[in-house]
Amino acid sequence: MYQPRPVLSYPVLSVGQQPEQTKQYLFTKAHKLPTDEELTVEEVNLSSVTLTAAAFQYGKYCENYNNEFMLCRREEKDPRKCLDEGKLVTSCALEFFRKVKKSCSAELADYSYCLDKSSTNLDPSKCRRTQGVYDQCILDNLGIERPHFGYFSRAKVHHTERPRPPVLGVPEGGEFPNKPDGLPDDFPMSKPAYGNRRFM
Amino acid sequence: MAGVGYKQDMPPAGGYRPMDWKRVPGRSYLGGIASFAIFGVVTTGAWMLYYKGKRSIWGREIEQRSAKLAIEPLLTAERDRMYLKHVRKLRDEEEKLMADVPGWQVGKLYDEPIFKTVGDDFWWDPQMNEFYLHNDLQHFKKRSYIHWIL
Repeated sequence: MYQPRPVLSYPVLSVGQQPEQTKQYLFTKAHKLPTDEELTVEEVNLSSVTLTAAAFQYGKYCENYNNEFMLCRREEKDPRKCLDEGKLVTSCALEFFRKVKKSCSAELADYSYCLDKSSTNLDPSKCRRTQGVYDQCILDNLGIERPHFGYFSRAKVHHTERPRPPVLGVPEGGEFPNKPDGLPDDFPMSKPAYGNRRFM
Repeated sequence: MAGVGYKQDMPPAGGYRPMDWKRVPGRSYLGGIASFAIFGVVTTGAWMLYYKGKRSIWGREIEQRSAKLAIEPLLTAERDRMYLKHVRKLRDEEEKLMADVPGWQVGKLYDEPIFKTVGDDFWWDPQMNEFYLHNDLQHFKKRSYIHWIL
């Protein structure tokens, strides 16, 4: 039986006809996007070499803020919801690098120069001597000991006050209302045909 | 027979010496057990040396990975802010560009939204070509590593 096509509110293009404008699917006006003022903070204006050179002590110094931010980022899957945590991360990094600049500027500069020039992939095994001087300076002035080499590759347990976000499609509490009841333990079962019921 | 002018070549008196047809085995230095023992020792030693070098390579890789993971929150925080700034710019640009089109709603194809079952404020990461929509095409090509093809 013939069904008339529903009337569309936008023009239907025939084959070969070009649309007047490129199709655009971006964010609607209903999306709450932060303004530029909310997004503009003082950034850490350092190169990747310096950041990599100072990474271990920086990660130890700002560990709590970093873990909080990364947990938020992974749980929420939404960059808009973790802006405050991100700002805390950046301000903590600025504080750390200001302290380093005050006390161990030359040591960090030497170490990062060595990292930059000794290999193509910032290999720290080429720069153990300058690294030792830098680590000792940080330990004396800031009191941060360099963590062992695999510290930041390990899984960490982080305690947070932030409530757990709801998962899309999963009801509150994680319990589905129409969950089937399991069989009772004393459910009468026939004798298994092939000896046991482990596989079949 | 005289008067031929040559002498027939004949076997030496008493005949040729007996032919060497017996197998002459080479001198054996090692038996089967010793061969296998040497093979085992050499293989074990080589594996130990290999594992030693591999461990040091793993250690270096883990150290570099740790350094990268330690600065990842800082880089991600900065990236997120830049990203959101650009997304806002894209939305404003679309609003300006499509102001003359009647019935056009920003972020939709006329009134057709992308998703219908999620709320209005649902976040998704835009596709790459959408993200570079109002940029120079060369930026998109370079970011997607096709600038050397096209």
